[in-house]
Amino acid sequence: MNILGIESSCDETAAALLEVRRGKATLHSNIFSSQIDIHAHYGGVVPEVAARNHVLTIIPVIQEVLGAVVPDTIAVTAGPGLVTSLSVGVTVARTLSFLWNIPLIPINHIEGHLYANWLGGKSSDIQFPALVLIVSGGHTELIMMSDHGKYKKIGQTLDDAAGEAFDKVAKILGLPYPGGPAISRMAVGGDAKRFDFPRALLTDKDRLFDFSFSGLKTSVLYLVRDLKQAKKYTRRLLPHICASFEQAVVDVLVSKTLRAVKKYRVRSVLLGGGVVASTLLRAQIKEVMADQAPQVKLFIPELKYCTDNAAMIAVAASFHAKKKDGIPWQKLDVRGGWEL
Amino acid sequence: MKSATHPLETMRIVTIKDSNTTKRIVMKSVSDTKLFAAQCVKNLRGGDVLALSGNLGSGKTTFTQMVARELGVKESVTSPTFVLMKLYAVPKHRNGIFQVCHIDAYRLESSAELKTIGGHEYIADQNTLTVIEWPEKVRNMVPKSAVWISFALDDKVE
Repeated sequence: MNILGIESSCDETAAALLEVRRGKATLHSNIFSSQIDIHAHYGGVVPEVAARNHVLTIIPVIQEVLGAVVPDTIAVTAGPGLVTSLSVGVTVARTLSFLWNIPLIPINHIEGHLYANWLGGKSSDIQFPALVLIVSGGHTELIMMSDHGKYKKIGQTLDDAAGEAFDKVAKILGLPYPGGPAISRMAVGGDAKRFDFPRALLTDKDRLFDFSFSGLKTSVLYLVRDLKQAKKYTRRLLPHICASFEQAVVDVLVSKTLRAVKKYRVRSVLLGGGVVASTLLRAQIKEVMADQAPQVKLFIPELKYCTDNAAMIAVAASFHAKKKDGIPWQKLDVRGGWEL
Repeated sequence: MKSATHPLETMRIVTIKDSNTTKRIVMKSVSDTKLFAAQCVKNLRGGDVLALSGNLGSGKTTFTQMVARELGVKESVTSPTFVLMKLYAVPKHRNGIFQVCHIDAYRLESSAELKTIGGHEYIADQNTLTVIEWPEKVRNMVPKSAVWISFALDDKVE
């Protein structure tokens, strides 16, 4: 079975072709036309610009991915995300499904991010129950996964997503968009202990697995303001501010994950989402897990599968296809606020 | 260097402007902000629009969270920056407010863009309280009757 995956929930127009034969998945192609250059100019994703560019690029991207192959199933991100961007992918998926008379599988973007862990050789080692940490520009969530397709959200951000905090802090510091890589690059050589930013660990019993990054962002803002008032703000401080900020985010993500691992006695931990591209996060969660929960297996997607891509959408669909979760094109709609 | 324990424990100046009056309030703490949100809610009706201006980190989203909680919204109100607009039901509809529409125009370039996501329908709805962050970016969509609240950190106070 050949699955065409389509992803257009934010600023990436992406498509992928995945072949599943006798339970074995082979990724034939996976491409995206990154729009980051366009959005960097505006310091963030501009929805109308994103949607218009999806319209321009989606057909060439799909053509490139398919070549002469006609797929058996189409998988498309139906939500959550920017409605204007999502509708481009959904409309194309509906049209192709009608033309080729093949089923459609709507995929939740968050589910796609966690299935990025099945795009690699080690996925056969994943055991349930698994704890999933999704961290991206729009989401910061902890999810318990008891089996394929069975999820229970146990925590989420109460205000800003972690990736959003990176973007906004980058803006405060005059660094480019996207904020994550810009801050990580600037943090190299910086002293992460120079500034003691707050870690919102939220110890209330119904907030144990929730996150909050808005206060951290505001703390950076105050620091910059105070340093400017004292005429002590120089570019030389930027590596220290960035390193201290990134460390604060990573500390919270790692400690919340560990807290959930201990409470729920999971067998695997799966990461996903654009912020997982952070070298600091990857290194520290590995270290802490090996030290504090060596019996639990940790899975981190390859860098290219952390940021938005369509391969993860196709591989998530391959599990839904087993359960015959396909729907006719008439029934597919954009689900901007879709909760997993 | 140690940073403040709670970001809202820094003094803020809030300026409220409706069609008739302009008021200036100084808020010294989180509880001041809560009190202010509760006061606001008393005077709000379905169909009202709050335009919240102020820089990153000045307290717009926090204020919106407090207004929503005061109205009895159960879900946690999170930043709408990524998806632009979020809706929250008010279970025990208070003052004719059945839902809160939280719009963030931070990433929008023009009023027309707010229209493409259907923002105008909520702004015009008599059962909805609409809260717009970064209203300057969509000025044409903000009705004349809107109450403008601007948030600023007090730079002189330490």
